[in-house]
Parts: sequence; structure tokens; C-alpha cells
Amino acid sequence: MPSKVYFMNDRANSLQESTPFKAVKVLRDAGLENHFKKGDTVGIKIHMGEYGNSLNLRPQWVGAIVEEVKRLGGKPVIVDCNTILFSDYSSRAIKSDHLRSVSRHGFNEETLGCPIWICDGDYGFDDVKVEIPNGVYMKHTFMGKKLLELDAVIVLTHFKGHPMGVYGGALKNVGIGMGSTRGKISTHYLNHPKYGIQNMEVNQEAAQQAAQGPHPNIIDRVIAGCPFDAFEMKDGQFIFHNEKCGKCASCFSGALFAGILAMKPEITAAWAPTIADAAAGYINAIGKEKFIYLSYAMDITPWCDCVNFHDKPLVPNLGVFASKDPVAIDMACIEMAESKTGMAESQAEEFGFSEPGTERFTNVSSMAKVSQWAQVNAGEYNGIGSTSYVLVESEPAPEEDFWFPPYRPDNVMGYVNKEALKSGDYEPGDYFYQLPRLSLADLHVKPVGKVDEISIIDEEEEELVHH
Amino acid sequence: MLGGYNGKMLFINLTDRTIEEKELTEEMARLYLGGYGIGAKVLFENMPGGADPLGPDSMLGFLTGPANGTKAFFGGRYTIVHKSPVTGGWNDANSGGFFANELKKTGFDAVFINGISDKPVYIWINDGKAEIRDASELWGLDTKETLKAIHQELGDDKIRVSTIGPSGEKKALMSCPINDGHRAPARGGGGAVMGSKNLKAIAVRGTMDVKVAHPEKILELNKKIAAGMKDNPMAGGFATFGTGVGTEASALNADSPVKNWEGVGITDFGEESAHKVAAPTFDEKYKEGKYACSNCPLGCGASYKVEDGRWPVGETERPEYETAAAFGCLMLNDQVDVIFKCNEICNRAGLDTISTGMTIAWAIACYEDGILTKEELDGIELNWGNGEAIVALTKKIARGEGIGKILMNGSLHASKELGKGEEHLQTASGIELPMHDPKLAPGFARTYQFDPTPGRHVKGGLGMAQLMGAPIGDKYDFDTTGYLDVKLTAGTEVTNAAGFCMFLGIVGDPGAQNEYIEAITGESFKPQNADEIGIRILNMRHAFNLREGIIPKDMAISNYAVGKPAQNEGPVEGITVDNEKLRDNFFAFMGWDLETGVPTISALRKLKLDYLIEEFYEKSMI
Repeated sequence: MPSKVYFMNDRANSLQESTPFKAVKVLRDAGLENHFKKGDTVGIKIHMGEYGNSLNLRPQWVGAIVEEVKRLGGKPVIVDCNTILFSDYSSRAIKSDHLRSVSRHGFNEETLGCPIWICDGDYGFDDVKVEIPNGVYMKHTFMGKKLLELDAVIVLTHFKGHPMGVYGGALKNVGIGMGSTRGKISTHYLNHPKYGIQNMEVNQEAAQQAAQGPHPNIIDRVIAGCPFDAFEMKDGQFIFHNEKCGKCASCFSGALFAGILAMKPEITAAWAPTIADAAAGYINAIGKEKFIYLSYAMDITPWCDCVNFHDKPLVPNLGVFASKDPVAIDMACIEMAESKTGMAESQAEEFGFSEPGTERFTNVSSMAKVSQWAQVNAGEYNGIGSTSYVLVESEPAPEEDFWFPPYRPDNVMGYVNKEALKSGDYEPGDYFYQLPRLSLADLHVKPVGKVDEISIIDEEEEELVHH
Repeated sequence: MLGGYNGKMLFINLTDRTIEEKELTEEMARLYLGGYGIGAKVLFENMPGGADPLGPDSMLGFLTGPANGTKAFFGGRYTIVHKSPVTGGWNDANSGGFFANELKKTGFDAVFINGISDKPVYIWINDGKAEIRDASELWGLDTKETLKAIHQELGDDKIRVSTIGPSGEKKALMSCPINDGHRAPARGGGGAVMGSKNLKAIAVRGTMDVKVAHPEKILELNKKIAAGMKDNPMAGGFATFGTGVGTEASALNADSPVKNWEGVGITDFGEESAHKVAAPTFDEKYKEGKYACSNCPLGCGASYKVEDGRWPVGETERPEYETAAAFGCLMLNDQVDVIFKCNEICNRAGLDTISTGMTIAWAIACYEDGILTKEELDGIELNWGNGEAIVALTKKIARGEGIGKILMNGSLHASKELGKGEEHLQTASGIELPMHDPKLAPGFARTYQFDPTPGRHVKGGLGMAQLMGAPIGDKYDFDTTGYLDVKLTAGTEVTNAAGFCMFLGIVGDPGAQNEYIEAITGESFKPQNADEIGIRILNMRHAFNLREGIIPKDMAISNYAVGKPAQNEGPVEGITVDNEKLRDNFFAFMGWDLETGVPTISALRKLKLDYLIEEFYEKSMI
């Protein structure tokens, strides 16, 4: 049976059409009001963005949902889990770093008005094993333990592309986001007995090239960064002592994505469907009926917010989507993204996938050009949702629902602050010329502007000559 | 209609001599692309399951793809489709030359023939018109003679002809049609199917334009490819020496099978012999000029003039790699005049040089082992490398005389008829293996054994990629193969179905295939479209076999090819190919049941092949 997905587009002409308030409205339409009881602990699962990224969810997009949960009598709490080590300076791989880095992005208890739980503990080790009853690739995985304390979950997602998962939507916010460190490593197959890092061989050519860099180069860092001392430089050869590998994936970016460890190409086919497998595990463990999904399909960048930069979005902003079905909401986001012309000067245009219907996530986002339908198809197979859906266009809520508190139509600002406002000195004095002192031509004709275009390298060379 | 299609197919029944035009719909073009994609769909619908491949219900198709008749580089191959009298399953084979473009320009995309004519006929298709003509005078002529005779009869030497020679007339199971005198959709017994219908040839002449959506884009792509080929040493090698550029290396590095697959090149054949039968060695002496198929910027063929040696065959063609290996190291023969002569005999008789070479190699192995006697071989002393004997036997096969009458049906058939020699058969589902050893490029094992058209080296998969040294990981890691195997097969399905030559991807630009199709049809054709269409076509061909009752356990490959037992010396010493695992992985990613071979309902639905669900599933299960 098709699921319902509620939607409002990205156009706006009033307060109630402001992005976060449209989000509140579609979430209401999807059934938020009956989703939990008064006093329930309602987890809002978000991805707060790797240090360096700046097109992750905005705090005000999340704050509006926190306030809505409070309005409905729930106890909101922001939830997330630690990441695996993306780099030698991963910002969210351990709890203390995680909280420090997301604070930079505007996410903390004060800005959001509720606590932030990192649900798999200080180092991502506080987890529980969860079964995946009908996985495509996986039989079980591991989830942040504290997530089991939630009475309800709002999966609040930034929809965008993803290099491994092909796209990042609701399924990935759960399937990766709720995984503990061990869960995430498993879902990415990085500890797989055949495909896993512990089985990979050194690409000696790449290693030798990396070793030429000034110290401490990538090789130095991979050696120093491995908690299990599995890497060594010996007689000019870079050696991976596979038997020492602790399957922690700390070398994920340093060795693996730098090409120093040779990956089996077929691992790339697993990455998308395993996300849906893991999501099914977590959803079933917490309780399928406890989940509701909200996706901001805005700033649809080629790669995920777990990357520490972002490229120009592939397609224009779509708007906000809500549903009780994680597969359907992702399907709706992908299909709508597919229906748009690619953004000028984005990678979609650069690689020849501007035209609607050309699968930009498959061909632009995915490192291995894996199908953008793999996650949703796997999600449906797992039984956590349906790829067929009815898109329901929502209408804005009344404006006063979103007035800045404490102001209300019966309690307007001028009334509340009457005495203070009355006490001010508003008299301006003689502050203006009788006639403007520039002609219309002076004001309205385009000035010269750019006189040259050089690169910073040219500028440096120029300075050298000058000296 | 989409660009690149005429939208018309001919259906000719030779029993009642009817000629019918049917529409090739846009939907068919979008779902099945062309060539054997459309061929598989049409045969599945129009040919009853279990039909005798040499009987009246058997249907034979000659198909073009969207690339044919356009200016797209490498777009000059047509395909024949039919049920194979060799394997009893699906067969397709494609061929270059100039026939594909000419057929397309007649205004038809495909010709399907069933029924049996009561006397020899040929089909003449000329700019939108088709007729069945008497071929009594042509019957008995070889393929080159037939070409000339038809030119004379119809008074136009621009006519392109795909014709059988005497071998096809005799319904030899190794026979094939030959077009342009020497290009062949050789494998699987298409010649016998034509012969069984008393169909000598198809002659085509077309001057009609094939409309394409973006002609300027095609020219742009051509320019890009030509520029890229200039700096590509591999292109240079193939352009100069053809597919035989690596014959010498292949004989020594275990790419070519040696001594009926039972030997080791470096020791059994040796460097000196390998050098003697390689194109670069004799090209200078015999090469008259280059030969390029229509729209081909590479030109991997060459015309030869051989006026010396024991068999001065005169004007002939440079033997392709497969022929040179089959009549060379496979038989431990290093006498190049033998190869030239056998190539010429096969081209004229209309014989598949791979199967012919393999069948002779099998006979040699049997003779050397005492399984076949000199008497049984009509007095021929068929020792390894005996050039005179090899030529004599090839002649007998071509004429269907004496032992040749048995051998002309291939090694499996001969072994059954003679009741011996099974231990030396080197086949996949009954057809002789081609000249690339899976022990060196293990992906070939899966392709040879489990492709719906078994025993082929041009059906995609991991083998060719491994042989070309593509960076796709450890080739002997049999655990991790299915995904790429399917992806690489799907891409080749598109190459073949569109009418492209595989050199487009090898020396041209692998990405250009989709871009050409977009420019031709005017519709978006991205990698995901190629995957989907490729997998759909693969399922269609597979479904044809399932309907014939062929299930996975019937899909067999001879043990030597997969190193069972492993060789104890040479470059692939100790190598055993885990073909069961290759099958399991491939089947899992195809959604094919390991026991029944039947694709999953969900996969068939996704591929819009719902009619196959009805075919293979009980109503209650749907």
C-alpha cells in the first residue's frame, strides 16, 4: 500500500511559509500530535555536521521542532551517536569532541532549549546488538544504547547526496546515524571478513608516493594514528600487519580513501543497501510505530554533512517532507530532486547530468556509481516502508502559531512593552540635505567594477618582481 | 520513432513464402534496444519452446542495432539469433563488415525467417522491398563465389551478402553464414539453421537514410574518439596487426589454450613457434592493405596475398587471433601457411574457425592417445603440429567427406557418434571453447559456462577486463565477483545489442557508447539505463534457455579450462578456477535461482518482464 508523504515547497511569502514553520506543519499533518503522550521523552535524531561543513541543518530548523514537541507536552531531546574516524582530526568521533564541534554549528542545550544526548557513550562503545530480520546484506548490527530510552523518535534529516550511501536521507540518518562506532563500521562493511580493512592489501605505489610528502606525511600519520600499531615502514616498504588490525577503521580516510589500502571494488555495491539493513535493525529495536520522519530537502549538496566541506548543491531547494515511512519519504525526495534541472555550475552540470531524470546521485554523488535506488529498494525489502507513496501537498498553518513568543494577537509587542516604548526619545532633528548631492546618473549608472582578474599566484609573483 | 530505427521488421515464412512487415515499436526499442535484445524478445514470442532448431518452427533473425547505418564509429555489426543446434539453447552471434549498415539502409531493422523452403532460395531486400528468389544455381557455391554470383545476377556489386557455403548446406553444426566474403557471425551453428531452411543467403542493398536525432553530436564524438586513438598505443597495435597483435604473447602467457587445452605454451609450444605464427612476424611479407568494417576508425583487418608455401591461396584475409590460436598453438602447429590455408577453407565453406580448430585439436588429442586410429581418420596421420594432416582434415570437414562428415558437427557430436574421446572435449554446454584460458582470466569461466550463449569470449563479464589488466582487484579472489561481473556483462549487452564493436570500449572510449546512443536516439541514455537494458536483455536470453528446459546444472564447462586438475607448470601453475563460486555470485546478483535458474519475481517486475513471471511461476505464487 502506498504511504503518505506530506510536502511543502521552498517558496515563501509569509512567516508561516518560513522553512522551519512549514516543517512543523508537514510534521503535524503526518501525525505528530498523536505520536507521543504528554511527558514522553521524544528523541529528535539529527546530524549536526562535521567540523568545516556549513550546509548542515541550521539550528533554527531544529529549534522549531523542539518547540513543537514542547508545545505538545513531550520532553524533547536531541539524539545522535559518535562517528567513525573520518580523518586524523575527526570532530565527532568521541563525545567530548562531538559536543564541542556541534556547538560551533550552533547546536547546544542553550540554543536548542533541550539536552543533547550522544547515545553511544564517550567513545562510541556503549552499544547494543540489534537483529536485522530481513536484511539484504546484514544479519545484525550495533546501536547506541541510550536510544532505547526514547518513547518516540522524530528523525529530522537533511536530504542530500552521499559518496558511499549514494544519497543521505531518512534511512541513512537512522541506518548510519543511530549506529554505534561498531555499528557504523559494520554497516560500511569495513570489518567484513572478506571486504574489510583487515583484509586489504597495501597499494605500495600509492604508499611510496605518499611517503615522499614532507613529514609528518600521510604515511607517518597512518602509522601514528592506528590504535593497534598495525602499520609500519620497514626497509622503505609500507607494511600493513593485517593480523594486528583491530577493525576500528581509524585508518578510514588516511589509508583507505587515500588509496594506500586497496579496496575490493565490490564493497562499494554493499554500502547503500546495508544502510537500509541497519536502519531496519534500529527501527525494529526501538519500535517501528515510535518513528516519524521529517526531511529538509534543502542545500542538496553532492556529498553528506559528514564531509568537512560542501560543494555547490546539485539541484535547487525542494522544500520540506514528512511521513511515517522512511522509505517513502526518501523516495519522494529523490524523485523530486530527479525532476529538477541541475544547478548551474554544480557538479551535476560539470559531469553532464543537468537534465531531469538522469540520476545525479547515482552518477555524481556516488563514488562508485552505485544506483540511487539501492537504499530504498533495500528498505522496502527489509519491510520498513514502501517505495510507492502518495504525495500530499500541505497548506501553511495559521501565522500566529509561529509568532515570536510571548507575542500573540491578543498580546502584541506594543502592548507588552508600552511603558518602555513610550519612554524613548524619538525626535531626529535636522538631519537631511534639501536636495541629493549626486545626480541620477551618478547614482544609477553601473560603476567600473572589476578591472582585472588574476590568481593569488599571479599576485605573489607580481610582488616578487616588485621586490 | 526514435532516431536510429526504421521501425520496421520483416517476417518471412519460407514454407508458404509469405513476407510480412511488422512494426518495431518505440516501446521495443526502449526496452530491448536492438540486435539480440529485440531478437530474444521476438523469438521468445514467435518460436514455440522445444522447437527443433533445424525444423520449420525454428526462427532465425538477422538484426541491426540503433548504431548501424549511422555515422557512429564502431557501429557496424549485425547479429543473427536462433536456437542453436549445437547447444540446444539460445544462440546469437554478430559480425562486422558492411552487411549491417546496408541492411539498415534498406528500411528494415530486422529480418526474421521461419519455415522451410522446398528448394534453395535466397532473400533479396532492396530499399523497402523484399523478395524470395531461387538459389538453385547458387547451391554448392562457396561463400566468395556466392557473393560474386549474386552481384552478377542482380547486376550490382554494391549488394552485401550474408551467405552460407557448402558446410551450411550440409547442415554442419559448425557452419555459419559469411558476409562480405570473410566476416562471420560464426558461432553456434547459424549456417546449419540456414541450410535446414534451404536458405542460401540474404542479399541487401539500401540507399535509404537512417534518421538520427543529433547528427552533429555523432560527428563530434567521432572526432573525440579519433583524437584519443592517436595517442593510444593499444589502438596502434590493433590498427597495425589486428586482433593478432598479441598472438605470440598469448601463446606463452597462458591466454591461449595450448595442445587442446592440455598443454603449457612456454614448454609445449615454445617461444620460437609462438613467434612464427604471430601477425607481426608475417604481416610485412603478406599484407596487401588494411581492412576496416563500415564506420571503423581502427581497421583491425587486413587483406593478404599468399603466393608462396605449400598452399598459395592467393588473395585472402589475415587470420584473426582466434583462428591463428586455434590452428596454431592449440594444435602445436607453427606453420603459418597451414593457418592461412585453413582460414581460407573455413571462410569459403562457411565454417566457424574456433569450433573447427577446436574439433581438429580434439581429434589430434584423441589420435595421439590412440582413441582415434589412422583408419578412422581416413588414413591421416593426425599428430600434433602435422600441418599437412591439419589441412587435409580441414578440407574433409569442409567437404563433409569421410571422417569430415562426423567432425563437421563439432567435437561433442563427433565424440557421441564415435562413442569415445569424451575425456578430451573442451566445451561449454556442448560448444567448443574460444581461445582465452580462464585460468589466466578466471572471469571467462563464468561467462563461458553461464552466459545464455555459452562458450563465448565476447559476452562481457570479468574475463576480458582481467585480461586487459583493468584495476578490478585480485582476479583469483572468487568470493567477491558477482556485482562487477553483472555490471560488466550488462555493458557488453548494450555494446552488442546496439550494433557496436567491442573495440569501441577497448581502444575508443568506454563512455562514448552511451553518448552515441543518446545522439542517435535523441533520448537520455545514462549508465543506469545501460545497466537496466543490459540486465533485461541478459534475462531475456536466459529465459529462452529456461523455456527450453535448460537449468543451471546443465550448464557445464570442461575441467581443463578451469584447472581441474591444476597445471603443474607454466604461468598458471597451480591455478584452479572456482567456477561454482563465480556462478553463485553471478546468480545472486542476477536474482537467478541456483537450482531452477528462474529469476525472482521482483527482479522481473522491475525489468518490466512481467510476461516472464507468467511463464515461469504458477499463478498461485504470483
